[in-house]
Amino acid sequence: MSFPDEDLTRLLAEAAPRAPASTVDRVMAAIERQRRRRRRLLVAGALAAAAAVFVLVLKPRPQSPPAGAPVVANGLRTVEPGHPLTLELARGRATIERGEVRLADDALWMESGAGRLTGDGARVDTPVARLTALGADAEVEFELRRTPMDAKKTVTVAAGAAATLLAVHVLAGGARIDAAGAHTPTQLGPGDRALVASGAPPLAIRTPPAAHTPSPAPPTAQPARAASTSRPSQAVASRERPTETDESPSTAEVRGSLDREAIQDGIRTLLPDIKACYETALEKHPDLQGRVVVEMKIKAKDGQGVIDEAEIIPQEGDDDLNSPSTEHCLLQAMTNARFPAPDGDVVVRYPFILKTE
Amino acid sequence: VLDRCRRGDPAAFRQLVAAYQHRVYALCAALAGSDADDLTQETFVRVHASISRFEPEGPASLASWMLTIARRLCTDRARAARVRLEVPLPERPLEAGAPGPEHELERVRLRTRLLRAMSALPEEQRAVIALREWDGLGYEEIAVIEGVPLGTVRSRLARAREALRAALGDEGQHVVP
Repeated sequence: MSFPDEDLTRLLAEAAPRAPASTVDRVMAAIERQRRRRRRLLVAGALAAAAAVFVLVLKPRPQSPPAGAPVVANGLRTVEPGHPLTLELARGRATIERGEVRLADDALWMESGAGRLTGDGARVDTPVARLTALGADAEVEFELRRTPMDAKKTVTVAAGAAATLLAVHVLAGGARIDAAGAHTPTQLGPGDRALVASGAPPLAIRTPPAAHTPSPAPPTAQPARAASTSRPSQAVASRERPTETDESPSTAEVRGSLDREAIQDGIRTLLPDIKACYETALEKHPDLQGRVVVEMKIKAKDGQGVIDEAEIIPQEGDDDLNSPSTEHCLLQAMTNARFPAPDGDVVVRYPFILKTE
Repeated sequence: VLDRCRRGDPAAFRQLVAAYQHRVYALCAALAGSDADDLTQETFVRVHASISRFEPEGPASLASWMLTIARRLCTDRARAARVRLEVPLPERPLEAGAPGPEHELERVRLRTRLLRAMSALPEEQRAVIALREWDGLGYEEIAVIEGVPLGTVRSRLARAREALRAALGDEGQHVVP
């Protein structure tokens, strides 16, 4: 005997999904975010127009372009891959592997490409930041990547002018990054990496201090409580594989006083942006997948909790995502997270599994 | 409220979201499962952006207009999704005032079966069921949203209901009061 039709109607009415209680607040917050982004894009557009006028009309041509490569335009020289160009600077030297470079008054300027700084004080200026090698044994690799200006990236990177990313890797010694978007310079140590976009503070990816030792928590205003665990992201991870180890990779660590569900809710609002980061990366690397662990410090500001610092914690093993551009995008997305105001600073270590079906 | 929304009053738009959130969410949940939260939010963001262009005297009601936006977003998401979560439709928690715990447990079990059966329906059938049973729209409005003739709405609805009844079997003889 089949199910009565009138009972089906009643059962369907009972089973109607209900929107979560936070829906109205989330919608209003999204509308406010969109309004702010539009305002930023307008400002960025005006700045870009002003910069274009400056470059095309006002900026003087460089006096002494580097030798060894043909001049292509506006004093820039192109270094072809496979024909590196070594330049002695006022302090230290630079080896340009490829890209566009200009040397004026001992200051090295690069707009795109890749290279290496060697020696204490060796310095390169880029559209997004000044990079300086620190220490006599310093060896710092860098790469400037131009990203296409599609709509998604324009929103993700937040400012229209942020079409160039500077990636830094300290092989030996140290480095300092003076970025336009940061109040103080960022110092890097051996093994550290960093990513810089226009108008944004550098995002540092620190080398773990030792194998199997948890990274020290950033300074907190009050002593952190015992670590606890909660379920990980549900949306970026399509389905997390079970683990056989005690140290489950599927757990988020929370130190400090903020309800774990509140953290989950805050992270949940970011999932569309994080998905977008991953989908963008998949366009170039269809097989990309892996695990990213983000350590973030949440602090109270204007009556709500915001992420004050966030960094990628490198993972040992083969499942590390190892995609700096995706990690950068993910960290950018983190800056939009909002939580209830915590009682003191809270440090959260949150894993994301990025995986296609 | 609509007039105030059209003039850009945030408090009025908040009221509008509160009034329509469950209907939009129900359609998104039927069509996009775990992405329903995101799509509900996106729907209202788009409603906010274009509400000044909505014509109250036009052929579409406000609910129908918003659900059309939600429906299109769900379709676009399904086409574009490369990273996607498939989860069953969300189950509502137990409500107070139920006749008794055992009875309520049976109802929950039945609802779970129903939602699972609904998840297995083709997308176009899920859409008409959600628009009819959860959003309370008439056949004509559903036909406009789905962009199909009235007869097609009726046949899709009939097929969907038949599939759900078959999936539930004779459960109703014992449980439904």
